[in-house]
Amino acid sequence: MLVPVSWLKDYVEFDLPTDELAERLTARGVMVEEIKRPKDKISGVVLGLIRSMEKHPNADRLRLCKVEVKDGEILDLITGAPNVKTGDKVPVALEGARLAGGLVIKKSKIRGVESSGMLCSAAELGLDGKDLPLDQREGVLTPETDLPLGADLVEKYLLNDDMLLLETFANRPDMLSIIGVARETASMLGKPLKLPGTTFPEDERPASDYIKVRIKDFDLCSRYMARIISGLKIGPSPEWMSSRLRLAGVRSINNIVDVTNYVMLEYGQPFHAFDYALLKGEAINIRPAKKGEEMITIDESKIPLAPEMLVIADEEGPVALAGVMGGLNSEVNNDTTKILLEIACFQPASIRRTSVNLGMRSESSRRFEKGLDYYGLPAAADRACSLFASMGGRIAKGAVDSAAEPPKTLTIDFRPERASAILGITTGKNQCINILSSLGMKVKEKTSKAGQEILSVDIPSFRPDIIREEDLVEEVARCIGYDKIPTTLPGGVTLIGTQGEEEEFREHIADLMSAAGVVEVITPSLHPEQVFETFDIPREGSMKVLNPLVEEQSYTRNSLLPGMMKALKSNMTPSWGCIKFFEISKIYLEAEPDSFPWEKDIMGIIMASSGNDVDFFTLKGRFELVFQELGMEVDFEPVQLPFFHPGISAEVLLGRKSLGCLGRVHPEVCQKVDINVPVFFGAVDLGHARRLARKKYYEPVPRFPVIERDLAFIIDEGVLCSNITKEIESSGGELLRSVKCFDQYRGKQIPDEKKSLAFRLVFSAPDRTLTDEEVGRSINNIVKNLSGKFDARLREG
Amino acid sequence: MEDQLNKLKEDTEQKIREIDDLDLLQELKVAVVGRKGELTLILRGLSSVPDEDRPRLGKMSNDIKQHLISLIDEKEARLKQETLSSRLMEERVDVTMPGQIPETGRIHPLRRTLRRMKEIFEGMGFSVKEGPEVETEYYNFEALNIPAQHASRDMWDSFYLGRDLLLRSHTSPVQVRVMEKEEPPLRVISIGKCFRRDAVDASHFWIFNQVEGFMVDEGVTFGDLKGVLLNFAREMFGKERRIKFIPSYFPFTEPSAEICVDCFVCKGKGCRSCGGSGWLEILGAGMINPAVYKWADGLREKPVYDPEKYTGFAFGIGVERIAMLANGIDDIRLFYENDSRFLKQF
Repeated sequence: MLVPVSWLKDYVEFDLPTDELAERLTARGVMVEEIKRPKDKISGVVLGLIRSMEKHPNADRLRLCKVEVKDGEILDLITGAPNVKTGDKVPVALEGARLAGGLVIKKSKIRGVESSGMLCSAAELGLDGKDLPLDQREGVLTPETDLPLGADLVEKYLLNDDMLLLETFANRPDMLSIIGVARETASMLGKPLKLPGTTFPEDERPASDYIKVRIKDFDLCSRYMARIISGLKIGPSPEWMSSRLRLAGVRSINNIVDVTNYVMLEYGQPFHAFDYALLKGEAINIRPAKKGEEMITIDESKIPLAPEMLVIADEEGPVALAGVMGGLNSEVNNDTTKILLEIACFQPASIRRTSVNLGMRSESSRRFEKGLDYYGLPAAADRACSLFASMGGRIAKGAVDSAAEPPKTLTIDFRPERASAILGITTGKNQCINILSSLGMKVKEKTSKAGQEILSVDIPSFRPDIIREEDLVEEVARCIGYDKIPTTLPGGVTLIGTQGEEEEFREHIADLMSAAGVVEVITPSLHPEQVFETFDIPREGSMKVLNPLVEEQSYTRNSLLPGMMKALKSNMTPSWGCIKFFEISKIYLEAEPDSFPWEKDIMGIIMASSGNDVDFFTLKGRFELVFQELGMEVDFEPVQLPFFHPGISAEVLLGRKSLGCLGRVHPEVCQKVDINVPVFFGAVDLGHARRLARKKYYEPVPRFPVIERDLAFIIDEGVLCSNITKEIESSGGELLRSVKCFDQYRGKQIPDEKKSLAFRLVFSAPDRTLTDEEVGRSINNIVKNLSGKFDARLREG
Repeated sequence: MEDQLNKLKEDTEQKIREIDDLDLLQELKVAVVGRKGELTLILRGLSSVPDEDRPRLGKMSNDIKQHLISLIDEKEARLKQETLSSRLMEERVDVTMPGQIPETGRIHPLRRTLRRMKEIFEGMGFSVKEGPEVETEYYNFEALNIPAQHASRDMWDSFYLGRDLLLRSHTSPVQVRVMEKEEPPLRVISIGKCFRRDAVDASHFWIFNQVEGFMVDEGVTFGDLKGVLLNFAREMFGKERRIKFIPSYFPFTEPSAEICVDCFVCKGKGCRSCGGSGWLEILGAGMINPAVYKWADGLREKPVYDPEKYTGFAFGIGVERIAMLANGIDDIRLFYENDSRFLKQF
């Protein structure tokens, strides 16, 4: 909300530099985001009138204008704006004028013709212009004003003021009104709040003669007041009013609409003015829309209505979308002389739902959403009526006031001691009374049975945010000033901070990966839909996002592969070399419809190289490192998965439990994302791994020498290394400490369909030096078993 | 014989002087003073010299032997020294050539920042608790005193997944989840990814990480909140930091505050980093609203969180914001673009 400081001064007297005002308001919870001071930046702009125009002799797009800027004083100006014509009033920047963005105007020749100033656009005058008609947004501003020619527009028309741009909180509807801000200012400065006068003469004939109001559901509309004003003549508003609206960022439209906007800004209460003559029938109804109804709003869009939307309807149908936007059929127009002025209190949730669903969030709906003051309606209505009366309007007697039972006003017991306990600063009773009273609350003192001081506080109806004692504590705290509360440290029981097993585990694995030369990435948790097809991953378990902003956010991810492939691809710059990435993140799986989805901690690794330094075993080694670190003896078994190379992919198994898989990404998948080098990817379920990990215990370091033996076996091509390894392990006896395959060979001396695998066996005993004989016995047993089970032949020499 | 000895002495002395090779020196030693060397040969003739000359010649040959051995040893030591020096000279390297930096991986800058934040809060007795990233509307909103259709929901524009599920838009739901299960005293931080439907720009991304912290115990005050956050700011950004509390609004805290730290780029004078104000917004906080206690007690037969007995505070810190400030990063998107040239800087 934009608050012109001069407007604020109507209601509370002060003489404070704007900087200080802003700082102090912010410190007490009226957050000033920015001070706008257009007049500091802009000068030398006067009102001119275009007397005549002709084409520039040397340029098609430019026109020469004779502009009167004072009695009879004519300037020659050149403009490129297409929207101005003879007879328009225009802002003229004279020689030496300063405009927004630091532009200084000089006399200059444009294509051979002298121009002694410039016609200004809204932006050049520091206005955002979003309320302006389309042609003026881009072109020259053509203000409708009664100011004399030559008037200093900066002083008189525009911006001779500082404006506070406020950030308003969702719980403070009163901060969307100048009076509300003035009340805070008055409380802060210890000054009285002066409210505007609202007296006006009324006709004898009562409003109820003109219209009846029927509210279908008081839950949706707790109060609806209608006032009838006649004798109006559409025209421009008085200058004081239109310039104030401009300051507050609202475009002046006509006198009727301007009054409703003016009082909305002033009181925070939105209004709607219907052309009385266009309403059909004797009553208006506030009711939910009927199925199939539709309405054209004043911005000329056709809205299909639904029963959850609240409408104002006459005999023939909807004339306004309650609290959101008026209908074109009853809009105030040039022939309007008599209006029905709506002052209402709609249910915030209903207005919010409708305006959010339709994408129509207006100044009105913003206020209704936050909850308006049932009791505040008459005052705002009177203020509007008094302004209409001052423009010659005749006000029908009284209002048609249809309302639910008045809501209970709240009285809260407030204990100054309680405030002290929460805040950690002693808050005196009198201090609390002063603060709360200055905010418009009625405070009575009483004492509890136990002798505790209690203040009984009547909460004003314009403060719907205050519903419990703690809310009053906040009022006291912010008015004292948060900076006055001493900084302390908590006492009480000393607790030991820990990060928990899961988090510690993730950190451990991240460190391990980093030490193993892998760089951590974080990829998005949502997927575009096309990844299921591109990567050939199943849709199962992936949940659709109902309201994505962009396609990339369509589904929750059920695999890290697509995101990590994208990260990889984006790093394949011309000189990319070798990339190794890991990620530890969650994937989401909706195990069964309607059950709470699972989240799994997954570690993914992806690798590729523009050289030859990465293969399946580079990747596998990283996973082996993890499982070795966790004391887990896992198996890697060949597996078929659609997104992996059918011959280069493995599942990680602990016993029969699958922990993940790894492999070379299928070349067709790579091709689809335009990668033409082998990519290796694997993912394991870290949560699972953590639960199965073995705690490490010290194993004695061998004190007697170990004996190493290298053995090579010729076996069938189809036999897996892991089969042989396991057989060696199980038949090697207790002296065999470890087995590792270190070479495979095909070719000379090896028959077709066979291969040779070489293993290093390490033997030792905890209590003695082994003899060759002992080791020989073990090896004989191994050879015998392998020969029997796999037809393996020891390769001699 | 005397002449023979003198000649051998002189010849050998001459040879020792000339030799510049250890092996040749060794050969010479063997040839002259070895068991079958020249000196031995000459001494064999000692039996044929007259008796009275024998002691003198014997002594003389012994002296010559000792003399030559010591000369040879001396020369040997010198030659060894020279050989070593020349070998060392040959092994000389250009120490200004670049070293081989081992290829290691990197921890993501957000994880690094999170670790620092965890350390700081763990040091103040806060423990990490976790909660799901896919949340129910109940925990994300209702139980935090944010009713459906309340205007404050605009503060957390969320991604909805149907039914009552959404991607959590803050880590505050963990507050209620923990309080449902555990009783005071509590000092908890919950960390992790959050999601908001924000349009992406240099300071907004639709994923971000949050550290939510809260404490509930007897006698916890707003002053304690100030103290804990001041400690955090100073540990994170430097011992001289000051912080400022500004009244704010969150449905789940009352009173609520926004916390700024004095800009450590310009030391509070006003610069581009702080938008000229001298202050940087770093987090939101407040005293836990008793309404939240009521939700947290919802399933209990006998309520535990009696607001008359226990008070508490909560705060929420954006990790990206802290990482950006701490490392001088000016665009939040860098954290999620995964450009290794960026990641390898940390």
